[in-house]
Parts: sequence; structure tokens; C-alpha cells
Amino acid sequence: MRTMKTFITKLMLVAVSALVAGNIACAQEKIAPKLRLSYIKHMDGAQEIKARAYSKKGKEFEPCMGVTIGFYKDADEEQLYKKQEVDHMGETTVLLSDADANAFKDSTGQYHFYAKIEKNIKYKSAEADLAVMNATISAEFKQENDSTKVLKATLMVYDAATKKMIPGASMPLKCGVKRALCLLPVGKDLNNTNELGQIELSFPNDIPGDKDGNLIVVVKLDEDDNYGTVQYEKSVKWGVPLLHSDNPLASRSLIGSRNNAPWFMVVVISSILIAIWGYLCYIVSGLYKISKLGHSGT
Amino acid sequence: MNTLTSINELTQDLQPRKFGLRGQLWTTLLVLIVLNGLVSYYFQLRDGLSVTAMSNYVSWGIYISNFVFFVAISLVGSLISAILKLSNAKWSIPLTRIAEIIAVANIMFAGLIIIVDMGRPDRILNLFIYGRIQSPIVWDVLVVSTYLAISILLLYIPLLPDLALLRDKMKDIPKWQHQLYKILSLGWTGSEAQYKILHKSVNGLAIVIIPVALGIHTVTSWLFASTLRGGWNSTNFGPYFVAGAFVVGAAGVISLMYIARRYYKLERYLTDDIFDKMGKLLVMLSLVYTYFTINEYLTPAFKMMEGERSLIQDLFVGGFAPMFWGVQIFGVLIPVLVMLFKKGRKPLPLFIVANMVIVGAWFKRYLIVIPTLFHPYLPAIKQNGVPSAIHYFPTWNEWSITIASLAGSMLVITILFRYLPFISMWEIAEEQHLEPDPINPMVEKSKNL
Repeated sequence: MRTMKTFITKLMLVAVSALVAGNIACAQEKIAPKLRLSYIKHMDGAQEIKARAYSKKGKEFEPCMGVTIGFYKDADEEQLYKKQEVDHMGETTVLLSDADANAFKDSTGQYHFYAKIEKNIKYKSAEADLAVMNATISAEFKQENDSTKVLKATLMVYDAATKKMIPGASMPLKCGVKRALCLLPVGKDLNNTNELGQIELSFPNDIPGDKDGNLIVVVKLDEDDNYGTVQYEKSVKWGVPLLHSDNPLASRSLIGSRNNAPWFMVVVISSILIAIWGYLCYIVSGLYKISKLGHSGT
Repeated sequence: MNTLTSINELTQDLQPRKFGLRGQLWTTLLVLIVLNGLVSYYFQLRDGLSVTAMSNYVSWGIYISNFVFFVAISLVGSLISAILKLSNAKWSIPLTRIAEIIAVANIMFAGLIIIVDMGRPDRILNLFIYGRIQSPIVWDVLVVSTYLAISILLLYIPLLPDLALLRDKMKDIPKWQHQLYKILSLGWTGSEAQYKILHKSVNGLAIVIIPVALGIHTVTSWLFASTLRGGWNSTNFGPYFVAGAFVVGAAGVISLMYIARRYYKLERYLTDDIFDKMGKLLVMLSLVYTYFTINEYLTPAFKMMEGERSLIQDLFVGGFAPMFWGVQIFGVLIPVLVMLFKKGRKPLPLFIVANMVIVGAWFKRYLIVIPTLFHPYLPAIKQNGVPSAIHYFPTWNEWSITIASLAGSMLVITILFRYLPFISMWEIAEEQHLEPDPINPMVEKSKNL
């Protein structure tokens, strides 16, 4: 019998090791990831480098979670700027001050960014680089006497030949109002600038704003090959004030918040719970009585 | 049941026994499968639900279909312990504890698999802290925990006299096991007052568990039915789920009682007659279930409303057709046809068809959950169909965790079988009017009640 027990114990150990090792090996098959860099300049001063690590699985792209991305100032990856771990979407963003951004600038006025996925237990290494030049967007909000609202935006871009900012002619600008998930477009999807780098749009009068009628208006050069993304944002009181007097979430209803559950539901569910759990407590007290009777020898 | 002559004979037959080689190998296999699932779960915790094949389209996968399966099979506790007990079906006495063991083991894992599906188990408390009482998910949490509590009590309270018997009779067992019986038996002496409390509690619980049991599966069905989706948007779903649950639960009991009978040589307790009756019961339940199935599919298939049409076609003649018709034929039709004949209700054939029913029932839950998710009421889908990139086939992580959860519930059943008498000794003694045991007079006293 003892031999049999030893045999079973050994068998169990071997099988556990094999299963666990197999499981880990299966999970550790290294994946070749891809890395994409993008540059975003906010006109209020913030600049960001966004890195996205992903891999292809069948026909789908999946985020690479848990990888660390190193950001470098040179192609040889000798001057490390920062290392950051990606989030659950496989993304990470590095914020740059103007001074920091200058460290990435070469003699022609171009910014060069280099990044690398540090290899880990699940993923192989991957690299990416990005070169962009400076660009700016400014905007004017004009309201005529007949209540016509006009938005005029100007794009200036860095010219490497003259080393000056010049108007960005014939370039597509997106214009819209910031909403929860995306931009509500104003004008065409893309509005090409004229030779002065300008667009002029008449602004609708009927866009709902916040309770004071504020709208966040965005003008954007989106993912340009030479300049990256440049975004201008301003809060303007050009919207229709939105009143919440008929907000269904504020009253007791099925779709109401937790504190606004309908009374009948609160009463019915609480009553059922109290009745059943009360009875179960009574049953448990019966067990206590059984125990007491047993130990008292009654 | 052949006549027993004394409580000693009964105890000899029904007291827990050490596992032989087959029992040890079976337990080892289950432990291995569970360990493998735990390793997979570690990877899921580390990397999140991205290790599964679930996506924004198929946001519920086999974890949820497995959850529905667990809830379904656990319903047998109320069928045998409550409905048959209250209808005074004495023949079901040897099955009561088996049914309760199945109920407890499966409802435990129903709760666990939901936590696995959450992806962020550390946020489980948020359900209680921030949960909206208007949400069917919160109702489900409440009713699952209530059903678990009642099932545990309904398993434990009738065990007290048997635990006392084991405490007093089983001498050649390890000290810890003896101590365990001593603690769990709560000093049971078999006094009239103790029996009175026991009978009162068990009868009360048998009544309370019926609405809770109906509630647990109805609420589970509402998780689907309260969502506006083809295949789920049904008023039939509550009773349909309950009927299906009784079928798989009864099949589970048949399967387990066959194994217990064969492995422990309990032919005189788990008789051919009990198998025959369970077979008849399963036929009746299957026919009721078939009635609901026809209701569930015939009316939408007749109307072929937009939104439902693509789902129905997918199930009847599309990609899911082999599974759909396989479930109907091998999981319902053939078992019913076999069980209609007396020879088909003999232990072995009944065991085989019961297992067919169980396997069919698992795949049926898969068919309830997954195909619907490929057919959302989205305008883009209506126009262009499901994007070709959208597919769902469980990953190895999902399979290993799901199989581990099934093995886990079987492991709990196996452990309970190893250390508890899975047929109620005192109730058999009471029913057989056995001679009182000079050492343990509990039977004599219980007869006087």
C-alpha cells in the first residue's frame, strides 16, 4: 500500500510539473510586436510623444500589455530620455516641455524621436523613429452684428530653408467641437488652408453647449507626415445653453442612479431579502440550540 | 430496497470509505486539472481578459455559458430535496444528499466562475458598494449567495445525526477526521428536542428553497432576457431556463448515483427501481423542456423578424447548426427515446443517456450565450453583416480555466463523498424501522417523532 502511495505521489509530482511547465511554455511563445510613434503638439504648451505597441493576431491587432518602451535622443540608443510601461491599450505617452523638446532637435530644426520596445518574457524587441518639424495654429472668433459667427484659423509651419515660420498653404485642417468620444465636425471634414495658411468657417448657431453655452472648439492639423498633430483648443461661449430639468437620471427610475432606484423595487427586494435571510438566521439559531442541547446532555 | 436488519449493517454499508487506487487516481487527475486552471488564471490576472477570445462583440464567452451550466445543475438540490420530499416521494430519500452535494459544489463554482469572468476580481466588492438594485446582475449576486447559503444548510443540517454516528462508530480513522466529525456533529445526542429542531428546520428550508431555486435560474435568464438582443429578447426565458435546469440536474444525480452504486456496491440502496423512477422523471422533465424549446424557436422562426432572422438561420442552417442539431438530437431526442423503454431505464443505459444529456446541456448553454452576440441590433451589422474579423473560439486559457472549474466542482463532490455519508443513514433507518442501536439510540428516538 505504501509503495502504491509513493507511486501516486511521484506520479502526481511529475504530472504537475509537466502540466505547469507546458502551460508556461505555451504562454511564453514570444510574439513579434510592432511599435508606432506619434507626435502631438497642444497649442497651450504641452507636447507629447505617444507610443503604441501592438501585435497582429490573425487579422486583428492586439495591444502588447506589460511591455516597457525606452525613448531615446539618438538612433544608436545611447542617450536614453525616459522609460515607461504601456497601459492596457498598449500605449504610453511622454510629456515634453519646450526645453525637453529642444534636446531632440537637430541643426535643421527637425525633431527626431527614437523608441524601442524592451524585450520581455512575452514579446520580442521592436523599434520605431519619427521626425517632425514645428508648426503652430492660432484662431480668431468673430461674431458679426447679424449674429453670424465666424471662425478664422491660421496655420504656420517651420521652413527648414529659411529657418523661419511661414504660412502653411494648402494643408488640411480639421475643425470641430469637442464631445465625449470624438469631434463634432464644423465645416467640411477637412478644410484646406489658403496661401496665407488660413481657413474661415461660418460657425453654426445651434450646437448644444454646457449649462452656460460654452463649447470647446478644436482646430487641428491631424497626423501630418512632416509636422505630426498640432491641436488648438479654446472654450467659447457660442453654444446653446443646455438645461437639465428633464434629466431622467435625476428622478427615481429603472435607469436612475443607485440612489434613485424606484421605491417599489427597494421595498420589494429589501423585504424578500430580510424575510429569507431572517429565516436563515433563525435556522442557524436552531443549530446553536442543537449544540447547546447536546452539550448539556439533555 | 432489500431489508436491513440493524443500524450496524447500515453503518457498515454507508460510512465513508478510503479511496482505492481508482479513487486516488481520479482525485489526482482532478487536482492536476485544477492546478493547470490556476496557472492559466494567473496568466489571466497578469495580462487581463486579453488572454481570452472575448472582444467588444463577443463580450460573454464560455465563462458565462459555464456559469449558466453550473447554476442549472445546482437546481437539482431543490428538485430532490424539496419538491420530491414535500410530495412525499419516499423512494427519493437515498438521493437527497447526493442532490444537495451536487447543488453545493456547483453553486460554489457558479460564483467563482463569475469572478473569473470579471477580469478584475479585486473590484468584486464594488458590486456591493456601488451596485444598483435596478440591475439584474445585482439580483443575481443576491440570489446566488442566498441559494448557496440555503443549500449548505440543507446539506449540513440533515447530516448531523450521521456525523454523530460517524463520531461514535468510526474508530480507525485519523484523529483530525474524528475531531472534524466531533465538531461538525455539534454534540448531537439524538434527543427528541434535537430531532424536533432538525425536522422543523429541514422542512422549513425545503419550502424556502423552492422559490429561491426558481428565482436563481429565472434571474440568471433575466440577465439575458432583459437585454434587447435577438435570441434573448424572450418572455419564455425564465421558465425555459428552469425547465432546462431540472433536466440537467436530474441527469447529474443519475450519473452520480450510478458511479456511487457501482464503486461502493450500493445496489440495495440505489436500486434498479430508483433508476427506473429517475428515468421516468427525466423523460417527463425532458418533454417539458422540449415544449419550451419549441416555443422558444418556433415563433421567431415563423415570423423571421429582422434581427432575429440572421440568428435563427445561423442556428438552424449556418455555422452553429451542427452544434444546435447535435444538442437537440443527442442531448434530448435520443435520451428521451431510450428512456421511454424500461430497458433504457436500467442503470447502465440510463447512466449513458444521462451523460449525453449533461454534455448536451453544456453545449446548449454555449448556444444560448455565444451565437446571439454575433447578431447585435447595430445598423452597420444589419447592412453589412458581422465583420469577417469578428469570431469567437475560446483560447487555451479559457478552456483550461473552464475545464478546471468543472473539475473543481467534481473535486468538491469527490471530497464530500470521501468524508461524508452520501446517503442519509438516519433517514434510511427511520424509513426501514431498524432496530435501535444500543450505542447510538438516535433511530429509536427519531421514530417517535
